[in-house]
Amino acid sequence: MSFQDFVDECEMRDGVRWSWNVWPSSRIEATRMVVPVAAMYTPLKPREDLPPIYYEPVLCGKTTCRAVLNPYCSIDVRAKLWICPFCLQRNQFPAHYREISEQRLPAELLQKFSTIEYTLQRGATLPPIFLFVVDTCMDDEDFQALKDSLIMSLSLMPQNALVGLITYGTTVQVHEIAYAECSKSYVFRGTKDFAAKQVQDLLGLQTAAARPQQQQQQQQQQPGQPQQAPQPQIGGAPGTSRFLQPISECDSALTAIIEELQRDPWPVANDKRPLRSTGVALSVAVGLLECTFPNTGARAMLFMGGPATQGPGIAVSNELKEPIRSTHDIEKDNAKYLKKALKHYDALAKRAANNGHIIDVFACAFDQPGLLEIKPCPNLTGGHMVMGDSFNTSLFKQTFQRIFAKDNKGEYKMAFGATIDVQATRELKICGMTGPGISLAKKGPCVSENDICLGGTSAWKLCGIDQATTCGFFFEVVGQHQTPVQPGQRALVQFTTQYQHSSGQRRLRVTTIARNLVDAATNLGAIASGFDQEAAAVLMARIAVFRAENDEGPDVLRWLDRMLIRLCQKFADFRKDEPGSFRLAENFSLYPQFMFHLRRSQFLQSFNCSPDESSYYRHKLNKEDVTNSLIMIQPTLTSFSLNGEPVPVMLDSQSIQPDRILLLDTFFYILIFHGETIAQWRKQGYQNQPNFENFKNLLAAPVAEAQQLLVSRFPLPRYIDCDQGGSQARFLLSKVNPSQTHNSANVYGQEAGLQVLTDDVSLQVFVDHLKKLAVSSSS
Amino acid sequence: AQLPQGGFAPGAMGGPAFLPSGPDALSTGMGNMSLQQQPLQQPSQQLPFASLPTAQFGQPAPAQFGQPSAVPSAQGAAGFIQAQPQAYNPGFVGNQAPMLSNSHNLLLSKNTIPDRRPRPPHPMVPQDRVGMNCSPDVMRLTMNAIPRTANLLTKSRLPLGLHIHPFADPRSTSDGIAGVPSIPVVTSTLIIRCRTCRAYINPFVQFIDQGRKFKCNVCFRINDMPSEFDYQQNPDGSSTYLDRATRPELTAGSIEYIAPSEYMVRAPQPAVYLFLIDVSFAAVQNGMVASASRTLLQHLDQLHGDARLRVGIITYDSTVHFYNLQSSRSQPQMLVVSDLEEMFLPSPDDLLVTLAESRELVVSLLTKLPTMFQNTQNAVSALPAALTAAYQLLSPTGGRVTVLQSTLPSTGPNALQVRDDAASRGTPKEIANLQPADEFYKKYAVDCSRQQIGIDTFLFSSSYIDVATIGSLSRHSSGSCYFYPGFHAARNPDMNTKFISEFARNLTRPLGLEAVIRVRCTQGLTPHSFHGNFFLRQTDLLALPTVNPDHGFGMQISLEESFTNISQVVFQTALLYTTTSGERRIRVHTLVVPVVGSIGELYDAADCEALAGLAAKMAVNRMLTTKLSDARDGIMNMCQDILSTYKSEVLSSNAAGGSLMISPTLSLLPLYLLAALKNAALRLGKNTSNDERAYATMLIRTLPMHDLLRFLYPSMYGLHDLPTQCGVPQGQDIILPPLLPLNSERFERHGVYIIETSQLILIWVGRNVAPELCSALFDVANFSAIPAGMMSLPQLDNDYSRRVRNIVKKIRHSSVLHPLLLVVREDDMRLRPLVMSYLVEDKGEASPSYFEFLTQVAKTNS
Ligand SMILES: [Zn+2]
Ligand SMILES: [Zn+2]
Repeated sequence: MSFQDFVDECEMRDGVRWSWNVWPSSRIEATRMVVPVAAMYTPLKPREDLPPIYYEPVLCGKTTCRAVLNPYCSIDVRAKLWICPFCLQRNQFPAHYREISEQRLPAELLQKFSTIEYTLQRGATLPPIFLFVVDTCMDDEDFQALKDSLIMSLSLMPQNALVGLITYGTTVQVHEIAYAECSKSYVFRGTKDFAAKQVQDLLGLQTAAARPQQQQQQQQQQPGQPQQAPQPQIGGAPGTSRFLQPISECDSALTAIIEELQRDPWPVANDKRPLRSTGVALSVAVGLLECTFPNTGARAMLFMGGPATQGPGIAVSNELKEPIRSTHDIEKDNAKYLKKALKHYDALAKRAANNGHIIDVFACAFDQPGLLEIKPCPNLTGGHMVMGDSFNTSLFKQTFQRIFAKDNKGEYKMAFGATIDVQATRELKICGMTGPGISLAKKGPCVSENDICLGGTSAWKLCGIDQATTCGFFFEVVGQHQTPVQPGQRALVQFTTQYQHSSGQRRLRVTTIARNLVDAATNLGAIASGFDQEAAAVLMARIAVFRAENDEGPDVLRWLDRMLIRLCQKFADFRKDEPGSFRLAENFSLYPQFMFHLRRSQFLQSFNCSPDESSYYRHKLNKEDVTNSLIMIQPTLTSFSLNGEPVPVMLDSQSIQPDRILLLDTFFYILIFHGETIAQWRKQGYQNQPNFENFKNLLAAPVAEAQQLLVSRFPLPRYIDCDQGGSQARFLLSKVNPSQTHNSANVYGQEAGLQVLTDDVSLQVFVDHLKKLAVSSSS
Repeated sequence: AQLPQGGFAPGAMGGPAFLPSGPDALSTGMGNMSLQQQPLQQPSQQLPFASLPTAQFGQPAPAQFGQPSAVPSAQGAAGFIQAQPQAYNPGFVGNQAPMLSNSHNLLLSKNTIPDRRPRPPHPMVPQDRVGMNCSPDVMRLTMNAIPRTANLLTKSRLPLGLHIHPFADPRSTSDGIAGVPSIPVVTSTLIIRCRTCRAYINPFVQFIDQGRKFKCNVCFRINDMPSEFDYQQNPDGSSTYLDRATRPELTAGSIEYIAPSEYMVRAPQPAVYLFLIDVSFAAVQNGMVASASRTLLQHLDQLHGDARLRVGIITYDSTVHFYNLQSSRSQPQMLVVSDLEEMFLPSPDDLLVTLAESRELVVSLLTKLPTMFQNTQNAVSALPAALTAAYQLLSPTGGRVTVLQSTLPSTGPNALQVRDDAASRGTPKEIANLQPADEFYKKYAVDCSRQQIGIDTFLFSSSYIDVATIGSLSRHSSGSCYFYPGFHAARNPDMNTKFISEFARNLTRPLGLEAVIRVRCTQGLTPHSFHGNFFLRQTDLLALPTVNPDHGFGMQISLEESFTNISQVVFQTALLYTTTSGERRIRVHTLVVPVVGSIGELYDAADCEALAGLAAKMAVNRMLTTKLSDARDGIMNMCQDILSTYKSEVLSSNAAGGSLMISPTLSLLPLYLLAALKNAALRLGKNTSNDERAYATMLIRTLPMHDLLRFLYPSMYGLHDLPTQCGVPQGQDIILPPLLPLNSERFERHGVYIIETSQLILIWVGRNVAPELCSALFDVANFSAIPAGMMSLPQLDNDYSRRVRNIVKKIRHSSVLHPLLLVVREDDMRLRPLVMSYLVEDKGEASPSYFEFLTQVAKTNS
């Protein structure tokens, strides 16, 4: 089995990719490896062959451990005992395991079920909740498109789902859905923040305690006391059903309400932006869910047509003459609303996250819609962040639909309220996690003192999670330098993910992973051979973005460089001070290139990228798996020509040739680029002539390929069709390695590519520099 | 004046003619009776000038005004003021001749009240100006003469005051007196006013310099008479000479001008009606919401206004519900604002919509309202928050807010608490509770007044609702307040009928907007201490965001100068308002009375009803500012002072001891004053709830004289011995039976009486009532079969029933409130005290009988 096969199989079976697949036994060695021992883990990765398991998992009896029985446990079938590999506790099998024998093992003990999923029987089955939070300040066309999408989505939701509607503009309206007489909504001032208790009071969601008092008052008022009308209830606080109704019951009512929604009626002067109370709307949404369905899977889906212009969370004033903050403003600390807004949304995000509620943000506007401010909401709750120009685009429409996508089994890909617990054997400690979640601040002996990203805990909460959600987990090796390593000694990590399945069931996914430990001092080669450069690059990118997000902007690039150089120093073959002797093993060879593209990517560069775009890109990077993340870091480029099959080509200006069509996939957009000659031919319409069938096919090929990519991508990428020399071509030029620029001669005498107008260094220059530094004896 | 004809006189009992064997026989019998018509006995006070053509104001027949000296003409009316002002000008005509010789001994007179209430006296005016004063229904002085000196006024002990009813409807009163005539409208843009005091030209000004100038009768300035006054511009450019004798400005006591733009602060606003409907549990349960919605729906198209007419509806319980009624919507949109602390409008427009455009949605909403809240469990009511919203909504245009409230506003800012408790009744605390509990309400109403918003309040309650506080909204914003204690549409259908009728009247009665009232009087006379619902914007300017025909106003008048060389003084009320069709108008009423020089003349000119009305208003005011006992003492003192002054100043001092003499004009004054003392507003004792007292004070403050009088001293008629012509339609009118004194001694065991209180129509049935009457009137066999608490008369096909129902109808028509009918059997222990409480001549819980009262007065008088 090749290393790549091994990596693929692990990813398929356990949804996990490790930066290192062989682990050093000592702390010292581990630190010298530069890239931490870390995993990219996709907790809900679909596995068709998993058997349905309807019994409770067997847990280690030690209260501080509670690890789940797994294939790596030592078992004694005669004594009906198992030894917990994490705490070494001996546990008796439960009574119903008495039939256990070497031949009859429960699924969780089989090696092929190192990842297994239990359907828990305790707890009620909960319907998922969808609460629309809809901006009403947008033009008619956009608004109509959005309304159509919302109505359409009702048919995509699970029939037992509860739905609710909040609209906002100058004010915030919570729509009562069950009201038969006419459309009815509760209106909140758009300038005032509301605590959950206030929202509850103002919506008349009384707690049980408040009722007798009301009764009493009635008795005082009216001697002829009526019967208390039974209040229909679906689990939430009394009165909840007025605002959140099962879709099966309110479909037509809600459709009617949405259809009749009107744009914000308050007049907007020509020199003003409309008043958008986004912050209050979200606050009310969070408050409503918080007081009605705490700890139940729910998504507040925010649709915004522009930035908040009033109230808490304001991103820009409603004066048009005042532009929204730019990267420059932020760098100069000139963004006057930013800190307050972030604080507002951060607090909201934490409240939502603590209650297990998701906040999705769909922002469609030509100007910045204020994602920078609102980003904590999707980022901390596992919500989606989608950015587009208009709600009347297929980008938005299809992306929105895909949220309700189902897998092969016909089950929704989305899930709710996940908590991920990580256990590790004593050789490892847990440093932290990156992903769309929050820390649950679970302390324990396996929690490291050294935080990487969200650290200080061994458990995290991901309110929104789907089959693609991927988190990075960072570990620290804690073994002492001198401790001898037994041959075949391994360390274990166990991920247990409990979540609310879209069917309402509680499920528990357990993945247990073992890796060999070796003494790096004596067997560095074994360790090096286990390096997964793709996983490592993505994990390092996540750390870099995390650092960049936390106000370490410029330092991040230096840190990345340092890490790269140190990695090369450790694992490259070279002779001191001889750059020409520098060689990297195959499984390291692409790593510098990844770092090169990461450095100049929109994740770490603000040039040509608004603060909102940065927030959006970083959001995506923080939840996608290794493959997708790599595309984001280093887009793929495929070349199509009349001379043969399409081939992947270097993301390099050299690849731009007049007789080629290039297909660029940056994950966020897919671009078809026609070389000069092709473009000319196309303009002249050769593809329409019968004897140029092959040209017609050539034109069609990248389009078909692009369609393939568009099918499953979330969000739907922007699709660009352009010609060499056209203005849209800049999207390609900004991505390719500028191997030929106006500053450089054609050094290598290769087939001439396109010169790119940039001052960026080329990959070649970068690598040369890297070699020089790596081999330098002074560094 | 017992007229047995045509009634169920006891002697007729059992007579075959009255024992109907079937409907035919009955109607035949009745029909025969109606043939026995006999003219009613003329009451002694009925003086010949009852036939004066008072109804012809504004349409003077040329013959009447063609007399050379009758009309101020170019030849001069300078001779009008007589050289000997202290003597009665023989040319003056009034309805009261001096009656010094005709003093009345109260202690000896058995009949306290005449068959008919005395007509309001007409002041004496020069012969050529007869009929040119405004109707007494519009302006009525407490004395139809003004003392020459302040000293004389003080000495007379008669309070000088004026009742005005400036926006009165043309209507007839239950006395059969023509009330307010229709008012001539001057279409010319020429409005002639004194340049100094801004008084309007009137029939009583003096022309000088061949009519080229006139002397203002308020400030005496000589003003130029614009020459164009005498010409009418024709469309063809020519002009026609107009005879001044035909000009309403110079002949009509009441006149209306169409005001040019100088009289406008802003363009006339559309008529805007905003309804605030309490939809809390109580409001839904007692049927108010349904009744109100249906009534409003029914009269929607009768709301006054032009094409711009706008309406809005707000409902509220613990939250405030707005309705977006924009015509483009398919159904109303309900917008709930529950943040009571910081009320705001949830939509910039569409909460007030043009009725013509959004009628369908308004109708839809009103149709839904009765059921929309039928399952409500919401017991609280956020009226103050709803008011705050209403203010925001109406501030730009002004308009009328109608509040329909069924619960004590108990939630949100400025919520109210129950203040009425049995312990506080009869204590100073009770009176304190007649003041608004919270500053908010008065301040709010004043703010509304400034924004031209008037507030009408309808209060429905089974328990305390704080009429004093909520009613103060109407008080300061010139609105009307209606109160329905114990309202329950199903259990108390006639209370519901009363509400529906009053609400319908409220919705459809004429309405003036952005009004101000100013009363000007001849220099030396100054109005002060105004009584009524308005906001006093300047010392003499009453601001009324809305003006309605059902409100009267009272004021006291001080006299600071001596009128040594004039023989008459003028009182002029100008009401500037905007019609609901967007026209600015000025209604001017002019009243001129003679100046007299002796106390005797004053007493003879005294208007006892006006005096009683003013006394009641003053007492209510005094009670609210000091205490109840002060208010009552004030009335007592007034009574005693007047009697003793009459005795000492008018009669010779050697009048017989033990007698209680008074001028015939004032013979009913002590009775009316006693009635005032027994009124719910001013009476002692613990049986009057705080709300009842508060509402009574409000009625005394706002009722026009006609209704106020009945509120103080109800009219009682016998029904068992109905004179033949009573209750039979005579043209437009129905003749009422003779008045009876409110004295239980006068009750006959077989009698059936009707007591009209302006609030209630009580039908008292004596225990020995004739079974025939029972069947003819109540459709039951006999007394014991009359259902308890019967609240309406069945529509029976017999003459007697029809006549009684006609009488009831007539009484209702002539009242601004819709009196509730209540049949009370003599043995009804629950309602009996209510009836007894109106018998003001009887001894009451804590009050003397009329005789005791007189004795008490006589004691201090001797
Ligand atoms: Zn364990
Ligand atoms: Zn004057």
